[in-house]
Amino acid sequence: MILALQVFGQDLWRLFLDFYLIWLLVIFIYKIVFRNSKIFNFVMIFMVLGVVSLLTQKLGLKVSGSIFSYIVEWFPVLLIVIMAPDFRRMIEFTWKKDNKNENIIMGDQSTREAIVNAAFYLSSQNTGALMTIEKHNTLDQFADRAIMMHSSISKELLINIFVPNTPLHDGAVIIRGDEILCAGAYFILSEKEVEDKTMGSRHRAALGISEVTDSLTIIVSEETGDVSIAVEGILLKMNDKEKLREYLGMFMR
Amino acid sequence: MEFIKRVLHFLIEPFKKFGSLGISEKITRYLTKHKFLIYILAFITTSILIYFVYFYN
Repeated sequence: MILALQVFGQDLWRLFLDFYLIWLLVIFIYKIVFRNSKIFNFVMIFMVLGVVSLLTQKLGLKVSGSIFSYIVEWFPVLLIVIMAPDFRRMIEFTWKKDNKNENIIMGDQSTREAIVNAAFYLSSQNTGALMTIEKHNTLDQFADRAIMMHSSISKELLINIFVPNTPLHDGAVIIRGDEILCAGAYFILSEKEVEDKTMGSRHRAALGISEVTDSLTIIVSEETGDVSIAVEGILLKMNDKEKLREYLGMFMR
Repeated sequence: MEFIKRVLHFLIEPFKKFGSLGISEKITRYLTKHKFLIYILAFITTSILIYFVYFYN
């Protein structure tokens, strides 16, 4: 009965099935394109070139018309070759569940104190550190590749993780609620121009994760010992414990 | 030489300015934070595609 239904002379079931399959395919493509600004940039250039190619052909510009159509033809191949690592990563994460945890449990007062004290102790020793506090957006995709810990937070443990030349010191610690989820996590670096030359890849990683999730990352600079936080794609320097405490208090409410 | 430089500047400057606006970063960041928009965009694109393939004549 349902199979016999028709819309404007087309089988309804065929329309639905076709729609569903194309929708899945478009979601897949959009997830790859829209989640990576580098790929998105290339796609924008491709679209501009496509429009220019179309215009040159309409205007009858023989040389530029043929050159542009040639470029447009080969651009997708070029895109895949240049962006192969990004494509691989995006395809890997495309169908992973986007857990947006609405019932989050943020760390309590003692957790905040442990983080603040550890950050400023590491700062006094000029030891680099990266601590990311998860909020609504899950950081599972980064934790998957790191060393899982699931341990209670303490100042001593945080300090110990970042001792130079130890297996866990390179990378970030991810904090979920009152526990250290993992250590040695690597994030995608931000493409944003950082004017301060003392800010290296640790700061870029912190900025990168803050651009794509609602997490807060505490960065301790190895060179200067400065403590900063990265949140919402912005870097803020923390001059003293009180300021960091205040920000953490607001964030972990 | 200065003239050519100026002409080239005049031609290239709008693209440079457009590039420095960081539109793609803003869009990707926004869509990463509002994931449902990708599904809506995909729905609209699919609707247009299906319309053109099945009903447009």
